[in-house]
Amino acid sequence: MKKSVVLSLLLLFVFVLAPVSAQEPTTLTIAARGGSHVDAMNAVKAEFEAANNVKIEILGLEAADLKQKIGLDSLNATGELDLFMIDDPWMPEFAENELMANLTELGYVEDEDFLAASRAIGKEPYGEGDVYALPFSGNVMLFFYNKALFDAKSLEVPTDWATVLEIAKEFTADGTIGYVIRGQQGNPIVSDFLPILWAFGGDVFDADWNVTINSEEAKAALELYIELLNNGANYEKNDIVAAVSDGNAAMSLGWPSWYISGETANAAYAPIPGKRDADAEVNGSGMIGNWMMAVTANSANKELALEFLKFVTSAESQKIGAEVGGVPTRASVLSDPELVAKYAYFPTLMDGTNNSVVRPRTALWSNVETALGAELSSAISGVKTVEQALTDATTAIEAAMAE
Amino acid sequence: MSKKRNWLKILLIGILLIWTLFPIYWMISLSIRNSAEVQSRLPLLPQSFSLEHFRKLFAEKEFGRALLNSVQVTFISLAVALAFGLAMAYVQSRRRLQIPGSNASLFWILLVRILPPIAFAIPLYFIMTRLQLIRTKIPIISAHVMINIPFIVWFMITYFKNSPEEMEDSARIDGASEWQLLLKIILPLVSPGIASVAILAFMTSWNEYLYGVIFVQSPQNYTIPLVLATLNSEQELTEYGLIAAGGVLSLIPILLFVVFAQNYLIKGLSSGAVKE
Repeated sequence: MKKSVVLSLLLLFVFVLAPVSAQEPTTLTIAARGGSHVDAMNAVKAEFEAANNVKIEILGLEAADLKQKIGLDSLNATGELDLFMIDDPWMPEFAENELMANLTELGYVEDEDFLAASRAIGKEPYGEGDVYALPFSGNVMLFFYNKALFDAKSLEVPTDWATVLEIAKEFTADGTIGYVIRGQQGNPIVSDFLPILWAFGGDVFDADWNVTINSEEAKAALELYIELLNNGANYEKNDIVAAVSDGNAAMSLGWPSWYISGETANAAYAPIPGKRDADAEVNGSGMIGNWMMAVTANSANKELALEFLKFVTSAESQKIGAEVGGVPTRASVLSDPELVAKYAYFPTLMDGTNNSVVRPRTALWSNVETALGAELSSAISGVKTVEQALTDATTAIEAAMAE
Repeated sequence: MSKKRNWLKILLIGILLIWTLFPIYWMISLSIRNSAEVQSRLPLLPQSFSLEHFRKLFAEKEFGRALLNSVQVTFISLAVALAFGLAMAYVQSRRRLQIPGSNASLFWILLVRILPPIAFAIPLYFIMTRLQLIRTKIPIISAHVMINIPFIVWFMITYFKNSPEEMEDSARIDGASEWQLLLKIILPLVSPGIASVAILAFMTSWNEYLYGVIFVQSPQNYTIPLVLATLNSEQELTEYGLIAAGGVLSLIPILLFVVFAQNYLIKGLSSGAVKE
């Protein structure tokens, strides 16, 4: 008898202690990418909570977990989530699966203060349809270099890739790492290679979705990429930032947010060279990498969620968010003199975004990226020739697209 | 020849020690270096000493709350899993369950550990959502109970089988009830096994990530593995100093638990493994 009382108390312990946070009817739950995005929302949410008598709960998650959580919640008739963040290549997949509420139908009127390239990502079909998501955090890949090393040799910032290679060779001859690639399989190597591919005039697909990764432009771009590695190193992102900041390496591509979040990280930056060589024509080469935010299609609080979305992406919120690592997506904020004085990279970021290139808008991009990343990795490690790697990449991407 | 063999042994032991202890050394050494050093080229020995990562974890990443949540989830799930697991193991070892299919039940229990965790996570997620429990800690505690019960049952059956039945018979003759028999005679006899399985189940629950990330629906309920996972982001630099500091702090409860039960663990693992 005594023992059953103990057991009952134990069970009671579970049920009493566990429900620490009771469900509240006016809670808005946001699934977000963890890190500075959550800090930026936390910095402003109190004002919205007070004005609307609502509680904002933000789940900061690792990227793959975020996608999984959104997918699971979408299967509920009424979602637990009201808003979620979306990495921009996910947009076609999320649109195809109808995970996002149509903001235009909810009465949202397009705000032209958002940079056009960022705004286009949130529309379905891309760039021309209704609005499904708003640009929450801006980012575009830039070219980073160590200014002291360049000044010591009186070098100009290169505007074409043949010159980048020449400079890399010059530094290598002096014992400095000329150029750092980010050659880890999957997203890193694909993100690092695509700007060069685009600068050479190549692409993964043509306008009719035929795979064109085996083109002459792609072969030349990959050969140059391997040459850059031969005159440099292959690092992961923390080591890239450390090497370029410390002057152990001269050049790399990267996301500006890496250099913002690193307390001692510093490097000079410029738009990514858009030409194969000095005489070639200029192509767009800066990869856009915005984080968007959408209202869930199955939210019970769509109108309120939209209000919060407008609030958290407003110019005022973005100014406050910038203080904690947020990256604005509005022209008025990126060109605000007070902010530019503090964050000198804002104008470059705005120019880079205005001339950026978006990754192919297919719901199967994740699979394509995995397939391409594996073959690029084989090429830079010497397991396959450039020709063989790109032929195999074509086959793998076609298979991925056929799924 | 024997000298040569000794040197070989020393070399092998040395390699094994470096192999196992170096990651722990590296984690501790990263956690006490300042940010500037962590973000530059790292020498083998720390060139700076700072507790800034530990301070930042508690001040900015709400690590204190995560620590409390992990303690709560781990201890509650461990207590429930031990209560049910030990009872099941005892009943099975003495063949007390005389119902059709009772022999197959052991296999069904083991199935939870054979199938991939995600196979259970998704149905459980929908059950908990329908029951409106998804915003509580009940789903994650239940999941931890679910993964630990099969382990406890299979681990403890050997111990129960090896304990002398004659002692139970004597106690029965002396008038002991079933509960008294279990609590005062059987469990003390198998306490080394209980200590062993408790430590292993504790570690499983403490470090569990998959069920946590699926079931936790409020930042108030984050456990340590969830907080640490968000410190690595594509858009920002990986915060190795914070991750290392979190790893060091996360080791402390496990170490305390293991040190407390170390004697039982060694005795338990050796006695349970061999049938006498």
